[in-house]
Amino acid sequence: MRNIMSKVFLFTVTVLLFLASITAASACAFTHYQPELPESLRK
Amino acid sequence: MSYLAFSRHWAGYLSRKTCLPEDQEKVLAYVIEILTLNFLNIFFTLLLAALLGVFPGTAACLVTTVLFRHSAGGAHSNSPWRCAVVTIAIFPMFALLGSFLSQFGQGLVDAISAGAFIAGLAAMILFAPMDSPSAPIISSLRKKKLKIISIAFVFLETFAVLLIRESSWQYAVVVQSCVALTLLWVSFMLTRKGHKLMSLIDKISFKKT
Repeated sequence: MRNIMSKVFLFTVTVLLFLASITAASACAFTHYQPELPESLRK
Repeated sequence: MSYLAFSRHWAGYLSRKTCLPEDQEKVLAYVIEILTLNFLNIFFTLLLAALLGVFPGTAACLVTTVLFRHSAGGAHSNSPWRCAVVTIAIFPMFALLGSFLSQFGQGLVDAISAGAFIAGLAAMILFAPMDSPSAPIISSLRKKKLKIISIAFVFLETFAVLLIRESSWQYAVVVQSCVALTLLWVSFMLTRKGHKLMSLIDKISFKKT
């Protein structure tokens, strides 16, 4: 069970990091509020 | 780096579970905040639209905004809650205005669409992409790409509007006027006056004196 949960967490984090790189490539995050982009995503 | 409490909490929890380094935890907090705020904004905007009976028009406004804000950017509020109020209020309002304008016939809606096309094209050529100090675009190549995408979206959106105009869909005229109004809004948000409007909204105080 613990093994499955750790895989679920790993998958979630991978998907979120992938989505972060996509949002970082755009000029703006759709709405009228832009949180501070982390240094590692700036390009 | 300041993120909302729920983003920091979820990012901390996920990074502890997967043993992520600190810089990756910040990336997680950033993306969790973006996804959650966007989801809530879209959900409540569409909910209000459904209550007001302007769901198709509001959906058209949101699609247009997502396309253009992604590539062209624009003015931002420095508070997520003010941003939510602006987003939730403005797009159903455009949809109401769009359905009101559609009552005056195809001629008026065509004139607004033509005006929006010209204003949109000019704004994309002159100002896009407009980044924010919180998320600066550093690469000049990326800036050039985003400008080209923004200009291409103006043509693509006009082509889509022409297709909708020729269709027999009952909401065709409403959607056409909503798309035109949103393009005008997105273009305005690229200008200095758009930035002034957002900074004015940021100055509104809700504290009791």
